[in-house]
Amino acid sequence: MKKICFLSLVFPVLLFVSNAEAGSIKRSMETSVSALKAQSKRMEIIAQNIANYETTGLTANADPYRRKVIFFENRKDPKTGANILSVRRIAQDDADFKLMYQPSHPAANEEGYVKYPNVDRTLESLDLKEAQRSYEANISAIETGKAMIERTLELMR
Amino acid sequence: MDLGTIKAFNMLEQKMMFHANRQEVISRNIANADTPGYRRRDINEPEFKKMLGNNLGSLKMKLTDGNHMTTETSPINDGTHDTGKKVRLDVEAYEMMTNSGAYAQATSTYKKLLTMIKDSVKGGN
Repeated sequence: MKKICFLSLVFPVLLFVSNAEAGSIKRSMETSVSALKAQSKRMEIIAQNIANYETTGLTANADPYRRKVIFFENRKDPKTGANILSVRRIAQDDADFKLMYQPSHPAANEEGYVKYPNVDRTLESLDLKEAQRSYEANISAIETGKAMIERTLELMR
Repeated sequence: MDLGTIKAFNMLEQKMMFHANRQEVISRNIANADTPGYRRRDINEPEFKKMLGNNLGSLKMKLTDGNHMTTETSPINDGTHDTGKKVRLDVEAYEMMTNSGAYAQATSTYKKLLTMIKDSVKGGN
């Protein structure tokens, strides 16, 4: 009899606690996962920029590859209520192209200059490092959330 | 059953909820570390001493005039505020560590209390 009383007292409390916490921590994990997705999209764009850093046009005076930039936005996901990070838009960098004197190149203009993409490889690799760091930080946030859920579950043991 | 124990449970629940919510805010900060214009957000720790007072049914101020400000605080759930600072990953990592540590402390205490009740129900062994 005593045992039944004890169980009926403790279980609702435990269920309440696990529900309340799991809600917030779950949302925090959704935020981190959305950030992982956004950061990998960023890495994809950086990889495109680096891969195309020498992609010139094909015909005379044609424009080469233009550097892409990604914009993030912090918004509320209506489905889960979590604040998520999403890609707002992918735009093109308006910076001037680099000109190189290569008269024999098919894409050279009348003066013999070829337009090369406005991609700076140093900048891109630094940006890539930053994306990588952010990715790691989000993973450690997920791990912390996981550890917290485990602590809550431990209460039921 | 001693009511004091249940109050302790209540307070621990509040504490755990606060740290779970704080984890959510910190994750949001980390996720938005590279979002232009985003500034780090945080939530204030509820005053647990005050909460204890409220639980005991005292220390609650009354409005006796229309010009008085309320003593009600905003709910923990969405009470985030802008700190006006840029997000720094090292700061967030530190906050996350202390936060999960405090959470672990609360769950440990919670577990200990449960064990104590169990022991008292069983009568020792």
